[in-house]
Parts: sequence; structure tokens; C-alpha cells
Amino acid sequence: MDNKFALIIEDNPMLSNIFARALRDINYETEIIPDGKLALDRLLIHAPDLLLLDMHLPNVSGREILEAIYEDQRFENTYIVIVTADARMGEMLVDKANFLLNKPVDIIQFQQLAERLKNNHQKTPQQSRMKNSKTEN
Amino acid sequence: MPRNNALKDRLDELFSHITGSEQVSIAQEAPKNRPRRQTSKYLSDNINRDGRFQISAGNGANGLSYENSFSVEVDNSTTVGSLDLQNFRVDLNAESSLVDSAFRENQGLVGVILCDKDIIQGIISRRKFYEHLGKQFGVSIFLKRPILVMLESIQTKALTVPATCAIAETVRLALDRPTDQIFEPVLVEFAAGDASLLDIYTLLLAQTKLLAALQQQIVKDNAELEQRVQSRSAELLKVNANLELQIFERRLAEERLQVRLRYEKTLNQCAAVLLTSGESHGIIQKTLTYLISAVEVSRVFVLETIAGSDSHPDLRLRNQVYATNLSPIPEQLSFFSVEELGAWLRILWSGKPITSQISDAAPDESALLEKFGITSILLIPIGQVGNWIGVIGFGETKTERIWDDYDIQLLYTVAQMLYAYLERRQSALELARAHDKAVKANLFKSELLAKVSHELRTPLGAVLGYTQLLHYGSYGDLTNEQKSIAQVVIDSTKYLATLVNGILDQAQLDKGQLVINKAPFQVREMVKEVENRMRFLAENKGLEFIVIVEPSTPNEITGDRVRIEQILTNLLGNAIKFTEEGYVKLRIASPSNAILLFEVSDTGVGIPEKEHSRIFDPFTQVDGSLTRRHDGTGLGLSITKQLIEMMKGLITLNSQVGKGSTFTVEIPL
Repeated sequence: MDNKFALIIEDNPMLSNIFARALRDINYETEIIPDGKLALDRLLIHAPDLLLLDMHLPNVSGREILEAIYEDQRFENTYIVIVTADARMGEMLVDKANFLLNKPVDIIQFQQLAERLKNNHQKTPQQSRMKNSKTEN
Repeated sequence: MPRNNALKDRLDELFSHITGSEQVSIAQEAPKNRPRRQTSKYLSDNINRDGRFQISAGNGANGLSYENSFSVEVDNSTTVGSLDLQNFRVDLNAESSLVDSAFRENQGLVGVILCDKDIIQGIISRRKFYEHLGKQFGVSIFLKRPILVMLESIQTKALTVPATCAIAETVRLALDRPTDQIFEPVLVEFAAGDASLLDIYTLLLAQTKLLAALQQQIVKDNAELEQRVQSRSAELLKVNANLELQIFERRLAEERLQVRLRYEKTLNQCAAVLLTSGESHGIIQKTLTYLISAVEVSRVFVLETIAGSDSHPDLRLRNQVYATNLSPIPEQLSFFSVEELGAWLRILWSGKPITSQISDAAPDESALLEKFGITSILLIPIGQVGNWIGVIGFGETKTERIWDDYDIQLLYTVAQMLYAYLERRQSALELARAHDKAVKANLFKSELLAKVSHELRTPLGAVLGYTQLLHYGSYGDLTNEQKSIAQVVIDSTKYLATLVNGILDQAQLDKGQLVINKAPFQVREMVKEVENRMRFLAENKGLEFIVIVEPSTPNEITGDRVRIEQILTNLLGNAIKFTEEGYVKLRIASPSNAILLFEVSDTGVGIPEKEHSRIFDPFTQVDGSLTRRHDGTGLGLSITKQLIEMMKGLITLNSQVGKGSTFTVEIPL
């Protein structure tokens, strides 16, 4: 079975590095794009299995990217995870994504999520919108 | 001698009435010049001495005597029949002209004895004689006619006594007659039907005196009556005067009452604008307008203190109202230096009023009054000892008005209310400024917190992420010690993250940015999502996770789904955190149409009773410190409670140490 492909759109190199490494450690193929406009271009070429989308991006915001793809048939099988430091914005956008991760992200939790996604291939984004709201843990 | 005593008493009484002018004396020896008033005493003395006395006739008082004077001894048993009457004899057959001439010739002769053939028919006094003549006007009295017939002809009711009746007894009988008959003649009956007229002079005197006494009595009675009438009149006058006085006083009291009522009404109006109205514009002017119309004065004004010397500030005209025929006090006259106000300020600043009339004001004061054109002034200080902020005053421009207690009391009370109003306004301004400052500071704080907590997330993410990678061996295996140290970093970073989350939420609550957005949503779906997320956490910790959705739970409600999820996540997160073994349970029900109920219970450590009230305060955990064992900001429950309250809901706690906790949330639908 081919490895899943995750596209990480995050302008902070440390965080993108961490997400990429965590995903690679559970056998994801990863690619990092630190710019909103570049990310949009890249997405038009290839829809990933997992899209990790930061909201604060240079040039084109994560929100605009989300608006552009969430109703697009080509991304029907893309599992969209929003990563944001702004809980309020996350809450506003969560309906258009599959999962919401608030910064700082618990990598172990994130890996578990990604692991489940790998095994649960058929799930469509619209059916399983789950969001990870602020928890006390 | 009882009889003599009785006679004496009777005569005494009789003669006690005698005063005066009759030309008769009764004396033993016709003593000259004996004072008339002693007659009674003399007579009684003589009777007492020998029981006999004499009657003599003559003008003793004038020293005159005449031939026909008579002297006769009388005692208690003397009868008319036994009198020697030669000298007084008038023949009954004589014509009345003879009787008349007998009287004329003997000026002192007061009575004659009427005889018929030497038998006494009666005694008639001079007065009686002429009286009879007069009554018979123009008709001669024929004394030959029988006396009874004669008396009948003049309709006289005579008293008839027997000839044997003692004179004294006759007197008594004569006097005992009713007063309207007392002047009637007395007849002596010598034989049946043979009556003679008896007219003893003393009897006449007695009658006259009695009349005089009666008249006197009448005069006296009249006088008394008159006096009573007068005193009654005086009384009436007095009563009337009293009444008028009372009416006057009452009218005065009524007028004062009117003034008082008007003043009270004015006070109420002033209190309404100064103390209770929320208005902020024209309050003082309005107050002064009320005053001027109530007190009917020329000017009402307020002076306010402005910085002069520290202890004695100068004054400046702040507000004024004036009668319609006046013009305002001009700008250039609206400033008063301490020197100018002189002695007035010293009195005012001791809390006392100034009442001054121009005619008796000190020279510098009257200059001040003239400056205003005021003839009479009343000033009251505004403020209190140590904080005098002005003066309120009445001014009269024409008359020298005497300020009464009502005026002073009214102005005092208004001054106090004015002071309260100005102080309140001052402190309200200060409060508003302080509040603005506090709001700004709080907003700044909230914004800073939001910004800081936001900016903290990225480096926290790096620390947490790298450490977690290190910890599970992404960069190669760690020793146990390294691993446990990495775990400490992970726990600390997670704790720091929740702290940042809590602070951000609180900042949003403080800024008022956290609002409740209501929209219809599916309850069971929402619960399912929460369950998915929390079951994962609970089961990771080896706890049983139970979710019960009661049939009463509605499918769809209108509410803030995000916040309700946050509440459930917080409560369930806490339950999982504080429970080491057993279960965490979520139960949802709707006990009534109006309420959605969530119940989160656990088998954890529990919360002591005394902490129940504090548990919802910010930064509180059960042991009062932030422990590493149970990470958390202590903001979670505080924020949860605030969110529930924003939804007008209620959260309650039921817990005991070692027996777990149950949080019950009721949210109105």
C-alpha cells in the first residue's frame, strides 16, 4: 500500500519541521509549503490525503485556501486539519474542515489522529467533521 | 316684754327708712334741733324707759311753734278714741275750705282730727286732704257726708280697724298691706258702719319712707340692672374684641400656613431636581427659579468660591434669577474679593446666615448692597465646615424686608441640597473619569493578554513538538533519565499551554468579546462529537467512559453549540484529570421543556464541602495551589461558570472527598 501523502502548509519552519517529522515517523509522505500562494498553486496540481493548514500565512491566508478548496470535488478525499493559534477563527472555520488543532499542538495526539485516518480511508470530509476544541489537557 | 320688743322691732324697722325732710318730729318735749336720723333711736329709748311717749306737732326743725301745737301722751294701749284732740279738731260739718284754711294758717300742721259733735270721726293729713280735693277736681268735699260714702266715691279701699285697736297695732296692720294699697286711708270703726278716717302722721311718714325706700330700691335695682347691662355690654364688647382678635390671629396663622405650604412645596420641587433627577443641565437655575417665585423676592443668586487665598477664597457670581422688572447683575459686578466681603464671610464661614437691611448695615456692607441695588439681603453659606463652596442669597431691591424663620430655614435647606447636588456631581465626574481610566486599562490589559497568549503559542508549539519527538525516540533512543526529563518538559509545556488558553478566554470575557451566538443544532450529534474526543482521553487513562442521552432530550435546540461544547469539554476534561480509576459519566436530559440538563459525574478524588463555593473562582484548585499532578490553570471552571451564566444557566456541584463529584449544568432553552 502506498504511503499517504500529507501537505503541510505552515510558515514557521520549526513547526512545519515538527509536523513533517511526526508524520514521517508514522510513514506519511510529506511536503512543506511556507507560503499561501505557493500552496494554492501546489494544491491545484495534487490533492493530498491529509492537508495540514495553518491560518496565518504570507500572501494568501489559510482561510482563503480553505474557502477555495472545501467545496471542490477534487478534495473530497482530502482530510483537512486546521492549525491555528486563534481559537475564535478556528471555531468560525471548523465547519469547512475535518479537524481543528489549536496551537500548541500535541504531537502524540496529532499522530494518533493521523494514524486513525490512515486506517479509515473511506471517510469523507463532510461526514466526519470533528474538531479538537480547547481541552484542559 | 315680748310685745314691747315686737313693737320696738317693728318701729325700728319702720323708722330705719326715714331720712330727710319731713317737718315733724316726735319727741317727749319737742326738743329743738334734734337730728332727724336719731328719731328712731330716741323713740325706742323712750319706750324702753317708761313705755310712754308724747307726740307733738310743730315746726321743731325750723325753731317755729304755733298755738295749736299739741302734745299728747301715747302708750301701747292708747287708742284713737282716747286722744285729746281739741287742738286738731275740724268739725265734720265744716266745709273743706275751713279745713283748708286751718292747714294754711298753721304751716306746721300736718293733720286734723275730724269730729262730729265732739266725736272723733277720723284724722286726715294735710296731704291726704288736698289729695282728696285734687281727686275731686273742682268739686268741694262735703265733709258732712259719711266717710265711707266719700271714700267709695273716690274708689278707695280703706283699711278698717276697730276703735279699740292700739295705734301701734294699727300701724302694723296699715304697713302690712300690699304696696299698692299702702297709701289708702285707714278707717277706725267706732261702731258698726260708723267708720272714721284715721291718718296718723307717722303712718304717712312711714308710707312715704317706704315709698322712698321702694323707689330707692327701684332706683338701686335699676342701677344694678343698668350696671349689669353695662357690664354685660362690656363683656360682650370684650368677647367681641376677643373674637376679632382670634379671627385676626387665625387669618394671620392661615397666611403663615399658606407661606409654609408654599415653601414646603418649593422645597419638594428643589429636592426633586437637586437630589433625585437625573438631569445634569440647568439644575441650579431651575432651583433658583422655584425659590424666587415662592419667596417673592427681587433677586436670588448663587456665588461660588474661587481660588483667592487658601483659607479665604474669593467669590464669583455663578447663577442668578431676578424679578421681571429687573435686569441681571452685570458681569463687571459679579466678582467679590475677600476684602470686599469683609465681615460677612467670617460669619458665613462659621455656618451662620447674614440678614442685613441697608439702613442699619455697616458702611462697607451698605456700599456692597448699593453696588447691587439691594436694600435687604439674606445670605446662607453652601457647604460644610472646612469645605465652603459658595453662598446662596435672597435680595430685595425696594423694601427693607425682615427675613423670618421660614425664609432662613428654606434657604438653609436648599443650600444643603445644593451642596449635596454639587458634591454628588463632582464625585460623579471623578468617578466617571476613574471608570474611563479603569475601562481603558482593562481593555489594554485584555488586548495585551490576547496578544501575548497568541504569540506564546508558536514557541510553545516548537518546545512541545520537539520534546515529544525527542521523547518517543524520533531522534534516537533516549536513556530512561533523558526520557523522564523530556516528559517533565512535555508536561510543563502542556500546562503552560492550558494556562495561555485560559488567560486568552478570560481576556476575551473581560473585553466582552466573548458573545453567545445562538443557532439551531442537533444535540445528539454535538454530544457524539464530544464523546468521540473525550472517550479517547478517558480510555487512554484506563477509565470507563459512559454517555447516557435520556429520551427526554430534544433532537434540536437553539443555542451556542461551540460554547456548550466548551463547557462539556472542560467539565469532562476535569473529571478525567481528577479520576484515577472508575468511570466518568455524561448524562443529558431535559426535565422540562424549558431546560437542557447536563450531568458530569466521576469516581475521582472529590471536592471537600468547604471548597464548593470557591471552586468556581479563578485560579483555584482544591488544595489551593497549582499542582503538577493535576495540571490546569484554575481558569477552566471559572470560565465554564461565566459561559453558563452568559447563557442564563446554572451550574451546581455535588461532591464529597473520596466519593467523586457531580457537576450539574442547567441551560434554559
